[in-house]
Amino acid sequence: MPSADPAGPSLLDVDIGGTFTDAFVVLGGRQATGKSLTTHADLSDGMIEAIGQAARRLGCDPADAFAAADAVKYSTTVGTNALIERTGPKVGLITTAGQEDTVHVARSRSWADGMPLEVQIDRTRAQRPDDLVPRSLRVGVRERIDCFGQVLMPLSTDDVLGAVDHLVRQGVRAIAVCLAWSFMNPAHEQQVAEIVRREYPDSVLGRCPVLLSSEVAPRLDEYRRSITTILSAFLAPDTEEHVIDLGDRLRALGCRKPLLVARNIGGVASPSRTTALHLLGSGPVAGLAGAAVMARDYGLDRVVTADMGGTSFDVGLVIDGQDRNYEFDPVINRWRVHLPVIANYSIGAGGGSIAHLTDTGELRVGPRSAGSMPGPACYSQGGTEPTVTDADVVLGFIDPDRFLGGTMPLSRRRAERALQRRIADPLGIDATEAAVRVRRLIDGVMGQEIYRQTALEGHDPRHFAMFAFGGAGPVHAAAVADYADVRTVATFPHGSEFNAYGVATMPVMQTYERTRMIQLFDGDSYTDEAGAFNEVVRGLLSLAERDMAEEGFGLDSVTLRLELDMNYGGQHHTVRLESPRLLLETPADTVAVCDAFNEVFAAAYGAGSIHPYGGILVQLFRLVAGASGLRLEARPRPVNAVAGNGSRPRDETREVCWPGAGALITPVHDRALLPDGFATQGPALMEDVDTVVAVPPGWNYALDEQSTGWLTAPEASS
Amino acid sequence: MTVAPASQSMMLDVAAMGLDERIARFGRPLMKPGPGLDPEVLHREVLEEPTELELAGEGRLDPVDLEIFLHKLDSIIDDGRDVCKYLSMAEMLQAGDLGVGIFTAKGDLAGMSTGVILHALLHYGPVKYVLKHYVDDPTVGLADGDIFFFNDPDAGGVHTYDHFLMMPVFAGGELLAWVACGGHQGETGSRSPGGWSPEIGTRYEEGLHITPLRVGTDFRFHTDHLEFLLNSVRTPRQNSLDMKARLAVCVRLRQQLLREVERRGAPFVAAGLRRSIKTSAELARRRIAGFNDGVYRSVVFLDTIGIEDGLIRLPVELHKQGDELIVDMAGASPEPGIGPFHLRWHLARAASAAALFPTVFRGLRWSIGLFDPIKLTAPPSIVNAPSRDAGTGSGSHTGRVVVQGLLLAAMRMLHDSPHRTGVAAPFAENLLLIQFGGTGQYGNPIAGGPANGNATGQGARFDLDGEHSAGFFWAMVVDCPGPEEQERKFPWVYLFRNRFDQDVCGLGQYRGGVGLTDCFVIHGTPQLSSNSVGTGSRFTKNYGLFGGYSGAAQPRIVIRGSDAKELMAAGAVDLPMSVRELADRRRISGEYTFGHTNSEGETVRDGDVVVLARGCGGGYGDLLERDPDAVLGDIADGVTSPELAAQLYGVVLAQGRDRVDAEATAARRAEIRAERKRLGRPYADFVVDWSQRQPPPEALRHYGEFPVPVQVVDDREYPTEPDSDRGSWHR
Repeated sequence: MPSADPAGPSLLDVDIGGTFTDAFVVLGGRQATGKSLTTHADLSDGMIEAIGQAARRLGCDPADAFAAADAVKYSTTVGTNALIERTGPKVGLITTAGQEDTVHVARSRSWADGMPLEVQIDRTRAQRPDDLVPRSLRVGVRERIDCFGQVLMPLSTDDVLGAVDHLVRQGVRAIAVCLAWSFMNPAHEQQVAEIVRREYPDSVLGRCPVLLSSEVAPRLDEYRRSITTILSAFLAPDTEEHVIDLGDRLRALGCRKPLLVARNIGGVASPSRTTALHLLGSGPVAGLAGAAVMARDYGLDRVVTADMGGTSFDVGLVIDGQDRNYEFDPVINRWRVHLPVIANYSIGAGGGSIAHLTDTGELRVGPRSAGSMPGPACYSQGGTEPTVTDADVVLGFIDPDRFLGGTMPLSRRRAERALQRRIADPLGIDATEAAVRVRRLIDGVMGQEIYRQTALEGHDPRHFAMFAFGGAGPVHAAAVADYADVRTVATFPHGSEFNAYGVATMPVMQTYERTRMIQLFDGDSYTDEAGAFNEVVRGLLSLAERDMAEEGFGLDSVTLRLELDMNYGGQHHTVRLESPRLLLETPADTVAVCDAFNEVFAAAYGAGSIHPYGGILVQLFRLVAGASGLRLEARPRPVNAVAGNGSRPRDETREVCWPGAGALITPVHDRALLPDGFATQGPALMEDVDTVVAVPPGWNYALDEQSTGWLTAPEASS
Repeated sequence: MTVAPASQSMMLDVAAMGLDERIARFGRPLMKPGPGLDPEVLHREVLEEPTELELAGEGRLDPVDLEIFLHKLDSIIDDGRDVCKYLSMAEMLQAGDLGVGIFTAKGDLAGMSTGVILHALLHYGPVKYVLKHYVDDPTVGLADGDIFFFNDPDAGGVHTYDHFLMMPVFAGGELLAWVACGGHQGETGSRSPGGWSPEIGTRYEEGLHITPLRVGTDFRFHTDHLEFLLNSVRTPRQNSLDMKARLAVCVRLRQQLLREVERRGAPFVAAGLRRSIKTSAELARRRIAGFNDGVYRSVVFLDTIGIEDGLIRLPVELHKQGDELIVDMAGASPEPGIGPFHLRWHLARAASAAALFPTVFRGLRWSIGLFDPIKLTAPPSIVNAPSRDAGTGSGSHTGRVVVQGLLLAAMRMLHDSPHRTGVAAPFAENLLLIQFGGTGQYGNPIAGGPANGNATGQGARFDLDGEHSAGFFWAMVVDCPGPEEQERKFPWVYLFRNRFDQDVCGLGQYRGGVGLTDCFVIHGTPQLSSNSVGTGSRFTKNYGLFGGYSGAAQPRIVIRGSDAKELMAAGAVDLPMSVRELADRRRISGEYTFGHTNSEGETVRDGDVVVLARGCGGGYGDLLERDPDAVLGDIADGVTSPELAAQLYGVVLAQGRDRVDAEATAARRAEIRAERKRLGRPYADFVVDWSQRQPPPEALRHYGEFPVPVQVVDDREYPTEPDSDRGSWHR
């Protein structure tokens, strides 16, 4: 329920990451952050600890914070391990007879899904992942429905009974049902569920949920529909148990308001309207939501987020203030799913990426990472392979004595030796030159990933600002931006809690999808399919009304957005259109939708690519219902953010070897001590506790009143 | 007749001869330089001399710059491939049967997409033709914004069914590069809807043959040219959309290249393109130098020429010396003269990339540079068809068999090398393609077929089983659409599809993967015309390796006048769920046809049943070495029957069939080994006996002289025995 408090809602927001759990707490209009180690045995321990820490920073007793909260919202990685370690329950699949191997065949080359590019094209060594549901647990039942939803062959009740009997004897703990064309006509799937409920009540079977693909993912393509349903079943027990336990603990702590979970499809929702699959990767999606708020606040139309940590480099886009750019064909782990996942692309590049030479003597960096153990050679934990961090140490970007605020001294000697032995000696160059090459190459590869997500998606990267996050982000941001053709970079003082802040900005949101092929233009003239179009939309609206009412919102306080996946006749690929009309009430509305589609298509693929001659079709309807309230709609201003105290920058320099410019005596500043409005020109380094902002020669650096550090490229700043 | 010494054959440069001389020598014009065709261009194996711009940029490249530039180049190219897939309408294009390439100003391929391997490798032909013949022709010329279309295989296409666009890229008024994009369109106005006419006599029945034709200027199509092309095909809307898709890709590639020029200068980009080729060439040579010198041989067979069945011999000798490879195909069957299965030399060369790039050159970046250390030699024969009129629509099928042979030879070279991880039996390629023409279930016109050939079985690896239904012989990155997607596109419903057949994959210590089998019932249309093309229904070409068995041959089955839909409506629970059940039990009534792969002009009607099996990969190594538990897994997965396991693998199951009976298995395997010993004979005895055998005459009608066809050129026989000094016969 939206808060009536003029200071805005009181929110407890948490991002549970693999290593740290971060909290972003808003109480009475004031904000604070908290941090705890992630407690894998019971995630709620770390969560409560981080919230408590933030509350105390606001001078509030944690118990009072829990009692005062209008909502507790969080993103979590629960379920990820179940997937990686295959520790989910035994799931059985009931499918249309004759198609039992669909989830194995997938789309033939699906062995490459979720793998790095070099593995994708190495067909000789192709290896599929182990089946989530082995052949012995995939059972066919006789039935057939055609593409119009007409029943060609009735469902065989005997087959269903036999299938369930077989699966139960095999000890399955969940049953996924995916029958051909069930998204057009779910009758047979519903019959299967009914038979299971009737013949195997919980009292006989114990708890054995039956998930129907027509409910989990009512879209074309039985492979993705099956996998989405199977994954939901596979991840459900861990997730449900975790959410129930957490709810109990929060209630025990005095929290009486809803617990909401962040989802990879955007927004937060109550756990009862969320499947386990929605939680995977929700943290970075929350971060992107936060970036969208920041972008709007700064009046930026185009933002690319770049998060460089130890092992991965993640890229997301905010276009026109919107973070809702979907991954075209999302892959979770090794499987393609039917889920409108917010795009957040990841490649194996980070501070821990290992530099190596190929068998033909070419330098490569990553995707293999030294991780945190043994970590880079300079960590002195046994690592002997040179990494990006080692190169940064050798070149002078990272001060070995001040890493992580001086809490973890690094060995420059070991970094140098690793580069010398593995790279420099075989190439006949010195260690510094090897480090330069390693740094240039990783910057080029990361810049390339941004280029791929911007320029190759039809945008001009020069119109983007980059938000750089992660420990290794600001050290490389300007160089990466240069390779990506991006001219402006923002660095933040509270980057490590950004995902938790992002959770705070996420609205309560529900998303509904339906596959329906409706032609709006037949190649010669506009069609009169408004009735069919509106019928689908009204069906989705009624679902939204029901669910949002249950969340405490009336449709009048909800923002509705209709998205249409459309294409020209015969194309398989679709382009998403934010429909200019919710319903088609006049012929002009149909024209408006078609015109808008042509415009979006031309923007993505060029004006010459539009092809109304082939007909204009809607393939998928997606209704997004978002509620206002229970969210922060401004940039973060946590009380514990370190603000500039106006003291003079300390007068310190050190020699840094800048790729392209050589060794330069470079001023080094303590970023926390810099006053708002501070500006300088590169070369310069801004050291912070958890990162270093590198300002290359020619680049400008300026701190605004929010302690955001802006890097601008030479041409852009002139 | 006398056998021509190698030194004499090396002097015979057919391309350099005048027409009269060739007619006098061969009685035929051979590869007559015809309108739009120039064998000198197609047969050029050496890289062009660098342009001034390329030379100017050489000094600006260091290894890291180059690496990052190539990374970007590959991203641009891969994006081009994806956009072509996204925007296209033809089923094959959507599935990824396409190629995208970026070329130097003089037409050498600097980077290519990972769709189908051979497309971009051929496009130097039209680029170099335009440069040689049109640039200075005042009626054609060359300008920024020009768009060229081509599909003639003799001009640098694959077969007429593949359509391409190419576009020059100018920077500051100077020609910097070329971009090209295209792939399998299908419908091209040939005798049969959707192309792939197996029963043609000559190329003139294979639809449009367009040599490089400027169809647009200033980045726009000429309406008159476009309408001419669209008026010549059965699916103008589809072809129109796909033309736009190709144009969108070319424009996009050009834009990205020019942005790079803006950032780094034209000399840098020009030199980067050239360096990418040179680097590939250097790395290829270094890789080859690491293999053992020697001659590696294989002989494979084609079982049809489309219009008729019959054995065609396709031998491959791989001569490895130092850092060079010679691929020699002497001893191939002669040109049949009719049918679409002819291959040209340039097609055979491009096809060989499918064998060599992912295996011998595994991990290296792909460009024309990888061909630098390779020479391909083929005398006039089916793989280097001399007749101008010869149909080449299914030349890619012949090419596949050549590639199978080359792979088998190359695997022998790789096995004892640091690159053994690349050793695998070839991907299955008993391909059966079917095309339909008529009206779909939505009242829409149809001329094309499903891309299910993209789900064939992988050959076994030296340390791993082949994956089931894992891809397409020619391609690295192709998809196979799912049943629903195809039931939406075509008027049929599947009786069974994604369910593996039993006992069809190649057996071995590691087994091959099972390919997809389709069984569908025509539904939603009164009738469709159909034609099909493929190979391997008589004689499998899914070869095993080092003792592994081959994947099975497979027929094409049609049941006409069937009661399948009535049985479905009645809820008949005993409908067949596999080819074996369908064929053995005959539960569906109707007229059964067990045909070979090729058919033309057939009609299928509502309710008829069509079965198409796709190939299974060959096995690797001795069957008796297979881990008995792996055999048990195959049985559980339904790909091997317990009977076959006992008979060939020597694996016996315990009662209950859920575990291996170790003792009985050891005994059975000992029995098989004893039987092998009993059958063993001295090699000389075997040769005497084997030499007396011969296939029946009807199988040899297109074979040529048995056992080794002899090529006669210039009244001389081309040598057929291994000869190390046979380096340059390739015209």
